[in-house]
Amino acid sequence: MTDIRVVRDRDRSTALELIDVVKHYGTGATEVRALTDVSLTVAPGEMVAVMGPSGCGKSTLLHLAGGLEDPSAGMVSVAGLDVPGMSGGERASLRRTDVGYVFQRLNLVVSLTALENVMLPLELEGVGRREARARAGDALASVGLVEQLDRFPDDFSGGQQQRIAVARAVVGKRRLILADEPTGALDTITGDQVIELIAGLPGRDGTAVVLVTHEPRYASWADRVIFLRDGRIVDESAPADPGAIREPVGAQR
Amino acid sequence: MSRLRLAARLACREVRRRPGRTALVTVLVALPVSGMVLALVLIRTDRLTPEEEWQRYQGNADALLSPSGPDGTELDASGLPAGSRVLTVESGWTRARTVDGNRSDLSIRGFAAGDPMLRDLIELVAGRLPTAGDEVALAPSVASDLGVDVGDRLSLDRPEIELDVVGLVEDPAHLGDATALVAPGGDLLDAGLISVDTPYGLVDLPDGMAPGRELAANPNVLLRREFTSSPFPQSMQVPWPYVIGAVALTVVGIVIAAAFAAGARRQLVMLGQLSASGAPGPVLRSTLVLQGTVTGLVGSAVGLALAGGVLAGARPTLERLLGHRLGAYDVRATEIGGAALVGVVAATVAALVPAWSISRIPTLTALAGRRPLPPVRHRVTAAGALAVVAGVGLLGLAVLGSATGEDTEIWALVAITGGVLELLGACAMAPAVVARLEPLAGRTRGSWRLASRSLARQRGRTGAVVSAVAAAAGLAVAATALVAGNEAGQTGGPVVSDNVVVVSEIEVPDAKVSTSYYERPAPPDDAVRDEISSALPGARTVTMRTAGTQADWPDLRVPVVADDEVLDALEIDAAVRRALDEAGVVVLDDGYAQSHVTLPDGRMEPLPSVASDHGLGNMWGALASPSLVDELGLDAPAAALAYVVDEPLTSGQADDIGFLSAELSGAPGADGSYVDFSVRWPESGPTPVQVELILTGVALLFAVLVVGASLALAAAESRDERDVLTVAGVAPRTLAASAGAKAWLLAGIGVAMAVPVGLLPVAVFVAADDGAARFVVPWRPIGLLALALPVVVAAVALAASATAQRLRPVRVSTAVFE
Repeated sequence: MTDIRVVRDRDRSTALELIDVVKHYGTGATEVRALTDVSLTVAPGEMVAVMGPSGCGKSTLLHLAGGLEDPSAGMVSVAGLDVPGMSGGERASLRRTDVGYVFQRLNLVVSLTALENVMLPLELEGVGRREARARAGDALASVGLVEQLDRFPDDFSGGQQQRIAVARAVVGKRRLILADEPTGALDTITGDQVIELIAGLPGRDGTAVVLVTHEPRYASWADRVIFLRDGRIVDESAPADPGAIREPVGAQR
Repeated sequence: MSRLRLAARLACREVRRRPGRTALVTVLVALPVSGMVLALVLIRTDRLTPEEEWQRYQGNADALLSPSGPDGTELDASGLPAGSRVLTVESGWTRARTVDGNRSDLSIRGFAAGDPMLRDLIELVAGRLPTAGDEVALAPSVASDLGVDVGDRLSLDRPEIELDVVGLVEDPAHLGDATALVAPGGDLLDAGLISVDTPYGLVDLPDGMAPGRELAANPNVLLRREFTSSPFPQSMQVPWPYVIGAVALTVVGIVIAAAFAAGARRQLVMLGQLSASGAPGPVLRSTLVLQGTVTGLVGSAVGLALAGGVLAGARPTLERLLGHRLGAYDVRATEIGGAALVGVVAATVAALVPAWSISRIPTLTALAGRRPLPPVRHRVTAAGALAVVAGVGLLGLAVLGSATGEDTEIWALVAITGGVLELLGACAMAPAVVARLEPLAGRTRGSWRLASRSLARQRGRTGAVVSAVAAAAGLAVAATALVAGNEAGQTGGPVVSDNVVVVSEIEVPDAKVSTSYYERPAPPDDAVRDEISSALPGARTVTMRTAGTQADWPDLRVPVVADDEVLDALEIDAAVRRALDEAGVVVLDDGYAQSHVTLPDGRMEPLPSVASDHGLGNMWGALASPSLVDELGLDAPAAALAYVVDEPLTSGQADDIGFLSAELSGAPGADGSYVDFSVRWPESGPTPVQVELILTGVALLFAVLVVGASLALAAAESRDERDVLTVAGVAPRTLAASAGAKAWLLAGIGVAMAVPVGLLPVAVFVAADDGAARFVVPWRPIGLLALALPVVVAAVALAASATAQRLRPVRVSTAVFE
């Protein structure tokens, strides 16, 4: 099956753009508004942290950006591509080539080895096995994993699993990485290492990163921090003390 | 290509990661496939060429010479080419009894078994072949029954003869036969056998002569070793293993679908991850469908190996079952491949439905491991009902079509389609039936509420399990209905009670048996009475009289006078007695077509026909009350003696009566009479009740397997729910009771559906078939299934759940709270 990518006046100057986005679930008395009039622009190479209390719409924002859900109103575009206007196949293609996801957990396919997990988007894209192996190996090396790549996810620690997830998210030169509380299931030291890895992506590859987190310490790694409350952006600012916690917590002890 | 490779890799890994499900599906596929392969190979192997058939039955002979002459017993070799050899083959049958009281049938054959022409007709197991008139070689089973071995002297008192046992032999064409081989003209053949066949000759032409050319004009030559077609009919057609196998695989396919549905749900998160990584729908579907294909391949391979093992390792048993030696197995790659392919396709199709529905679940829902509850689709239910009707119609069409004897393969395909359609239709309707449990959940408490709510919410998978139970129980219902229908269709009315022997001596004027059969029956003479008394020591006798003679009754077989002593001795039912009191004449056969009878005085009176467990003997089917006999002024001549013993006849007693019967009831003796024995012979095969019990037992085992597997899969799937219930304070016994209640409900609904599923095709079959079978509802197996199946399945589920809870303590999973 051939995926047809629709390119409409593609604006490559923005990695992600949301304009007046509204998202609600249900109708009438049972309607829940997850996002209300949210507008956001993320430039290539920029890292944006999204913070806010539980249920404020952080994850919904990421789901809309990755084409996993449709907005009720407004516009969502990734690298100039109109996401809501895409078919299911086009969105799948978008996730294989442009957008990489890192979740809090359940990132890896347990029946694929570490290397195969990273090869997954490449193989789905039709890249040859040999080339896919080489590129996946490079991606894993870039996150510090070079050994025991033929083991299954259950054989790795939580931090290593997240590294593999990051490698899979970046393999293939993605334009946008969407990280949904990637440190939520990790201890502090491992979490710091993973955040350091993700935060290094914009500077290294020009990849934009949207990081959802509860932790102000991790948000301080971002270029901008957006605060959501009840589905609305209530504040947007640069970190008060950028890099203040770049020293890992473990090192401070 | 890389996507397909990826899907295949994931499928293989998942198959390996889920050994329980894989083992279940493998077994479910392997058994029908191995059955199909065994049946195909054995039927092919058993379908002999005319040449092979000739060799099996006539050895190396060139022709079969039939007897001729004035009495039809002489072999006339005069028309055969010079130099031809003719060997006589004699045969007969009797029941033998040794002086020690051991008994056995004897299928006696007398021919020169050592001659090269006939050496393939007998296998020497031990000792040597008989050459003298007083020598015999016995089949091992016969030697065992008679208590002799090679080298022993065999002393029989029935027939009265002494023989030397010189060897043990088997007839390769009739392995189950009680073979007794004697030399040509052996003494045993003249010892007074119960039946003696007309001898025939086997001809060996001089070398170089062709039987077709040399013997074509000889009127005494019945068969020649040159055929253009088989002289023997083929009773089995190859496509039917596919019919049975396909229906069996449909049943197991339903179970497999349930297993895959449960397994697919457990893979929701993986599918969500794949989707989030950019895998399109076809890749997700392929990942699941290929799991079915891979498992089907494994199952088919195991099935082939199993069949191969049975063919290689159980050859003697197979030969014994088939009753003759088998040649080299006729294995056709296309047929074996077809059977294996059916297994693979069944598993693939079974995985297709859950794959299709699962792959359409939104990515986020899949990542959360949730599966939305689909509503019952009325269109699917209606289509299911339509499929059932169409399937039953096709089955009827196949019955009608196959009766023509032409295009059997096409009708086999029609039957396959009909059977599969009916089962799939029932499967499609099952979720709607299961959904009716939802209101029940609101009205019940505790474990019953948990069970009914859970089943109703999981109706997709529950429906498949209910369908599988319904299919298994439905097959049992159908089979028992057919058995009961055939039994009811047997004509001739009831037979005598099992502790009664009715004996009547019949004079045969002019040896015309057919015209005088019912006219002059009388009690047996003293010689016969002595013989019977020695066979049935202590038996009391009751004289049976007829209401006049056959000449008095123009449209009814002469009735027996219903003396109280006769009614009591023959254990005639109360219903018959009541009808007799009301009408004066009654027929003991509820299927009797005649509704009125012409009495000897010319009056036409209603003739009730009443079902009866016990009959009056071979010659009579009606009773007349003594008062009617008096009223009509009829004589009541004694017609028979009923010998009554306290207990059912022992096998020895039945054996002796059988011998007497065989000896005395054949052609009229020198005094122009013969003796008729009416006996309820002991059943040689399983009784109808045993058949019902066997079929019900098989359905029960299958249901336990299906429901057990389903609940195990469901339990594995809903561990988190169980843990939450435990945290909420639900007692372990409530959880176990809930599992039992689920099983009870599944089995109960399955049995309820099984009744129409099983009876509809039988009703169509009986209506379409012009045979004697009737449509009979098998209440006993239905009742047994309805009572026993839910209880047994529930007990197994309850015990398994309690054990599982002990083996796996509660562990509150974080996944529950996501």
